[in-house]
Amino acid sequence: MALPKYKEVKSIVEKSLSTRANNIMRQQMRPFDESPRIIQHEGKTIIHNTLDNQKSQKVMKYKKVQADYKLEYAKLINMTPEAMLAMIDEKARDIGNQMAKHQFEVLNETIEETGNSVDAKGQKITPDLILETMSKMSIPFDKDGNPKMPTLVINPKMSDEFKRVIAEAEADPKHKAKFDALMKQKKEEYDAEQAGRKLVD
Amino acid sequence: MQSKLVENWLTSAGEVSFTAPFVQLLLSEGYTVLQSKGGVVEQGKDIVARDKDGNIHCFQLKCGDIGSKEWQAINGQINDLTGVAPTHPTITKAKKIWICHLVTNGDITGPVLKTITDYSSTNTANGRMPLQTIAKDELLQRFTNAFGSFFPVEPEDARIFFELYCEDGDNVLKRKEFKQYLENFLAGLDAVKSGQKKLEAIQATPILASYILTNKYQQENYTAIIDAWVLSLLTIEYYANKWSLDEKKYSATESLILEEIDKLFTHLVDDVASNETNLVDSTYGLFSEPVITFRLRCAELLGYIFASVNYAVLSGRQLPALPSGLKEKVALMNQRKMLLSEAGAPYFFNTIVTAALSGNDEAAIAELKTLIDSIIYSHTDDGEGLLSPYYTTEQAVQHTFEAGDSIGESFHNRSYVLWSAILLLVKYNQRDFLNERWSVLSEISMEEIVAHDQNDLLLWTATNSDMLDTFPNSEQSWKELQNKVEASYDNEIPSVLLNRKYLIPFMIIAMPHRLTPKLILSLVNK
Repeated sequence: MALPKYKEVKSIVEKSLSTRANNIMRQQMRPFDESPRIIQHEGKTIIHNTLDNQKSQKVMKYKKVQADYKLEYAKLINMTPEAMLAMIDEKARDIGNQMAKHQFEVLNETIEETGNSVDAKGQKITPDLILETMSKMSIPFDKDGNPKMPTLVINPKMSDEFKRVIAEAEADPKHKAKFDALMKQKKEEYDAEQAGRKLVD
Repeated sequence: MQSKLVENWLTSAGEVSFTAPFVQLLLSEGYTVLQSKGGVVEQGKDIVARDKDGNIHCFQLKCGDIGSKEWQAINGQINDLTGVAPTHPTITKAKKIWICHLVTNGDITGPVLKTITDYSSTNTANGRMPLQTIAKDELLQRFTNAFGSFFPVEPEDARIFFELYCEDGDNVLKRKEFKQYLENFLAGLDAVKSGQKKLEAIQATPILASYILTNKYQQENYTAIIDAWVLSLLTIEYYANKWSLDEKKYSATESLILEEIDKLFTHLVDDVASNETNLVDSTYGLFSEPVITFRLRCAELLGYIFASVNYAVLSGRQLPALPSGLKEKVALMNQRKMLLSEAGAPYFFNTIVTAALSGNDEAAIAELKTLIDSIIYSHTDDGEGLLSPYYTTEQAVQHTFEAGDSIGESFHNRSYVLWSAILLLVKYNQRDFLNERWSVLSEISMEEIVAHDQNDLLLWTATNSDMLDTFPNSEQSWKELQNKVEASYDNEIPSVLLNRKYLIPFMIIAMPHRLTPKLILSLVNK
């Protein structure tokens, strides 16, 4: 018997499910979900440098991510749409987690290479530790002179503690002064870096 | 099936689209084609060719059935065909005999056959040439014998072929699909040992292209047809080189395509020059004209016109006399053109190359500065930049109007075309302009595909290649840039193009992702 195949209908549904899965994957990749995405349209490798170090030459590392699911027809006939969506969501989260993990690995490698790490040595988070961390970062500014602050990634378990420390720092004029001084220094560094972007003989 | 396919195409072909395939048929049958341009000085002869025995043949091509009415209408041309001896540098003045053919892809109907027989007898008696006819059935047989085996029969090949064939004639050419279809067709002969068979496949390529282009020819969509012939030629050159075929054996096919491009350019500039609506077209909607399409059309037409000029200058071919009114239209297009995405950048580069090749440095510099500032502007204040050349104009419009599928790629601070423009300005010693913008330019990553075998750049996708994604030096030596500009890139461009640089202006339009600094500099560096 020739079964109705619903080619067009399936195309619509599968595309919709794929979009849903992609959105979940992206969410799961936070904070990298807002990173610029490059598609390699041809070729086997991407050779790149960095904005900070144009002499460096790196080969982009690709990693295969996947989620397996064994489709059993016997189970399929009793499966509800909600159950199917739940399965897709779970696999999408799984893939998103794998991608985020890879991104963190690459990030950690870069941090180690550049030496831009701060070892808290088991201490509690303090305003000074945050300022020390920020002092090692390169902070750009917009055309009005406002800093484009970097995204901070913290362990969810430390979220409340972190918020408390930030609130404490903001309320303390001493820390506020340190922060302002750091931003002034960063602005000077940024201006100097921008002034260094020029053509020379 | 093959003969049915040939018949379907043959009977629907118009006169303009039929000439090139007929010339290719003659070439495959061993004729040497001396002239296939036609035009006002044709004297009844669309094609002049010499057969293997040295006889001269003159052909007048018509389309459709020829009845009494049609015969009357073409009588003057037939009299020229049979009464005026063909002239060509390779034809000796002593030549008093030439064989005349009236060719049609329809039937010669009613009493016309008898009329032609009588006409021939009268001609012979009066010292003029008799007239022979080649009609649909004979053509069908000859085309099927020569090319029938190359028409697609496998379902998947046939599906792609007919999808391309069924494309609306008014639509742009689906460049990627068209190119990859021809690449797959010729790649199918990679394993064949016979050089002759490969040569026949090369000769069949323009026939397949003509078939696919039937609707484009009917709609006189000249820019799409130019794209198609350029892509066909690049594919032929790639495989002929890969298979080490003797250039002499396929040079006639190459010439045929170049002459077709010449004719299309003439049609294009005539249309542009004589357009009475200032190049506004409301066929598929009026509101979209001032919003975007009018300005896109200006950039595109200008790009093809200047590409043709560059092609003529670089090849030494003679440009046709430019029609009156063209200059004013070019000025209008120059004022109104727009850059929507990097796929449109080759149009602008062709304008720049024309200025450079003609020594109009001032115009080249002004155009380059505008182009660079436009690209910088698209990235300013976290702007998303311009879509890369891998996306079609249609996709760029969808993206701009937030219609259709999301692109899913970021273009902020990335560019495939900016480095070419920067290096050209270095060539023109515009240090101050570039220095003022270097803080911004050096934060834009320059993208380029470098193929392991440069000739692979003639393929739509160069699998064996590296993608370079590099920021310029923050502190950049001007001398180093000058050295880059002055270097010869002849060893770094596809060797196939080395003696065919004239194809590059059209190639970068038809394959915008192939616009690289090396190709551009190879055009303008002496």
